Amino acid sequence: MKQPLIQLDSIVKNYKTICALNQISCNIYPGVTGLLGPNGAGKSTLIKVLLGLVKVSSGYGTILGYQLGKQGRKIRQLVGYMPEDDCYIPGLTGVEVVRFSATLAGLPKVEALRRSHEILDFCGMQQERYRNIETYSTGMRQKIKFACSIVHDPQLLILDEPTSGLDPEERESLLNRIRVLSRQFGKTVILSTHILPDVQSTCDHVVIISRGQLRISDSLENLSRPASPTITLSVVGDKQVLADALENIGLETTSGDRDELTIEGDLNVISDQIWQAAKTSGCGIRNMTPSINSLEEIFIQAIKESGHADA
Amino acid sequence: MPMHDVGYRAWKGELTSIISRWWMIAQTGIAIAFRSQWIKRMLLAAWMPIVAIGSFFFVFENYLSDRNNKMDFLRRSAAEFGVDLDDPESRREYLEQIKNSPPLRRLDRATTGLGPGNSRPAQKKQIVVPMENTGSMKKQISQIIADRNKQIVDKIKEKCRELDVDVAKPKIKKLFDKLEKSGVPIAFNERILTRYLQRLDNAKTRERLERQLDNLSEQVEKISKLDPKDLPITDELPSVEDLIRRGQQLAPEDRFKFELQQMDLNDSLPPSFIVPYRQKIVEAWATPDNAKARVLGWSYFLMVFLGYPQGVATIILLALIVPPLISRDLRSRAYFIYFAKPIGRFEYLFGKFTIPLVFLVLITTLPALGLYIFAVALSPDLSVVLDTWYLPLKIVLASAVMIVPTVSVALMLSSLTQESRFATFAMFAIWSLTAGAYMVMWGFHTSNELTNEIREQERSESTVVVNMYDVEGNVVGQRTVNNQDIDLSNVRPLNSNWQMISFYHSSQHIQGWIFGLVPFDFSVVACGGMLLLTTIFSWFVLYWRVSAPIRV
Repeated sequence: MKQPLIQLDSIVKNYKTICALNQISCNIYPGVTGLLGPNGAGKSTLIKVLLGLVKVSSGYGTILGYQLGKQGRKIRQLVGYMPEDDCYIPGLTGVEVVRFSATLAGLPKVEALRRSHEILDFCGMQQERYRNIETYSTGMRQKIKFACSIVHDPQLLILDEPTSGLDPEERESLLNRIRVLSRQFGKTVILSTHILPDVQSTCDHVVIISRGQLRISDSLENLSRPASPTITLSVVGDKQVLADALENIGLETTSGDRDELTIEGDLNVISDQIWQAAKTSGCGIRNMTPSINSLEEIFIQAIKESGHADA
Repeated sequence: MPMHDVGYRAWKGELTSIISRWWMIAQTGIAIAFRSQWIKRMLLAAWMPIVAIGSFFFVFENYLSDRNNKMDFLRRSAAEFGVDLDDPESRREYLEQIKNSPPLRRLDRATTGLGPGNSRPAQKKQIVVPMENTGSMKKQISQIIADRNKQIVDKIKEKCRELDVDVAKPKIKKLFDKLEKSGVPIAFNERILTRYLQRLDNAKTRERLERQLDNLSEQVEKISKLDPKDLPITDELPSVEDLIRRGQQLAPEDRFKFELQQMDLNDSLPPSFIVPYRQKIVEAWATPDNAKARVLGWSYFLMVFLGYPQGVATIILLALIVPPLISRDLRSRAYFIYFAKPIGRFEYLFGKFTIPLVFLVLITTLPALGLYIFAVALSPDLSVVLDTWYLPLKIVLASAVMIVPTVSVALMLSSLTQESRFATFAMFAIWSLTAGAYMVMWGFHTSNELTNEIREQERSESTVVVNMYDVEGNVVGQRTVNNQDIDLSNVRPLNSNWQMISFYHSSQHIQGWIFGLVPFDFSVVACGGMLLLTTIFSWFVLYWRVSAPIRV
């Protein structure tokens, strides 16, 4: 079992009468973690707590071995943060912004410039790096923000909506870069986003927050596995006839989209019975796979539960 | 993929000290500011006054190295304060007199409606002449004065004609006629002549002068009604200078004193209304010890340099540099770039504070220190450094008094808005309104006080006495007339404590105190306290405003 890089224990953050974070306790492990939640769920507050920019009302936590709230400066030295907001320093060119960011993190001036060019190459930024940043498109500014967050080679990357405003090709490139950083260079990445396919394709773990409370914190693999084993069939022919045949032999079925049919049971145990039922009902089976939960379902379910809980 | 693209590589290097990170913010800010052409031009313009002040140092050091030099403008300027630079006794008297004088504040007579220019009170001048105690000699003196007056009147008339001024105007004509008559106990001197000629040369002041001549004419009318004793006329008319020279050789009891009222229309305001600190330079000229004179003179020049041209340049440069510093960061949300890195809020603020600080040091402290070095280089030997070693420290302190509060307030204004224009307007408004408020207050107070004093004296029975004495000190001729010169020496200017309502005047007052030109009193504490409190308040607001966006 890997050691968690971030440990949070009963973190509470109150803004006067509003409770932004309520008893958040979770561990975040190396790899890519998706931080999900509806608008106003408390994701940004949690990120600021992790960066040590806001003090928690109560609770305890450690990040990369440093105590939360007391060693914020040391934490920020090891963390790269890409904010969601469009932020830039007016009057500077792209490469100057990245260089400035590197010097703020403590890189010597000349090395900061060299490193900035290297990172901008990695981010796919060409000669436009010499243009004033105020003339950049949204996509270019996203790249600059990403470059600023990784220029000092941080151990932990916190990316807030990194793919917003990017065209599909750039979005795929950025996700690839995140994968490279995580898998080849061992960076721990927290990816806060609303784009669930991005999380599905990139993340190893998922943390879902709703109304300031932690709803889910688990690996994506565990979450995708249904509570009880089910099998999804893709039927050729009349799926209702097959469903009747399966129910006659004692298997519960649920009709899905188009030609899909879901059956309760373990594939290794009941596969023979399914083939037999298909034979008797005269239907073909194009595909037979164990069912998995989609992230969208998991997300919606978690939000619904929080709504019930609050109600 | 370009050939130089090596992909992502881990970075293992030595980090710079965490204490120096604020300097990175300052460096970047300075680099951005330097890209503005206007700031470069302003920097250049702000260095121009150094030439003028440098020439003051040059003249001053020349004067100290040779006190008998021919720089008449110094003598003329000192004479306005009643000091004869060539007369050690006059210099000593002046130094004694200012020991107990109040700090000087400026009053422009135009502000009070009393007339142009700054001035001093009317003086009685005593001319001691040698003569026998006879009436004929008294007549001689009157005749000599009349002759001198005639020469001067002729010169003024000639100039008037040259400039096409109407000398035939009834009142002026009458004045000249009266002055040319013998026996009129009123003396014009060379200084008055020179001043009138200069004013006639100037189209702006010519009209005012004509009005003055009208007034003078009325006064002469009254004085000429005095009836001097019937004095026999002699054939011999020695010059006044000869008479004075001869008189000085006589024993006091043989001297005849002739006292007359010296008419000078500008001489009516007390010295406490003269240009601020200006008496200090006259004090420097009058001080016989070169070392002491040098400290006073240099302090005065440095104060003038920092307080006036550089004070204005500071405000203009601040208006160009400071307003965008924080407001643009708030608008572009650049604070995320700063605070996502190991930077604290005070480091951010200190970095931002350093940006205008560097520019202001460039236009105030550095040139002032340059002037000091220039002055040391002009002085006869390096021993002056021992006498003036603390002046560079005073320069640094005086610059800080001006820079720290103004930059703090300007930064605070920048942090209160996302539109840097609003911060600029607010900055100018605060500086000009507070300075304007003080000046208006001062003007109203002074005008009111002067008006009351003049009314009071006009009601009273005050008189001017024109006396003639014999060797025994007995008055042999005396006439009294209604007082034409109002004595305003009892009018007090506005209390200096009120300067605390103005940023500009407060910092200037503290600078004056630092340079030893203003005595330490409650006004210094009040102005210093105001600047200190404003600075602390500004930093509280700054910290709160910078924390606000990342707190939510």
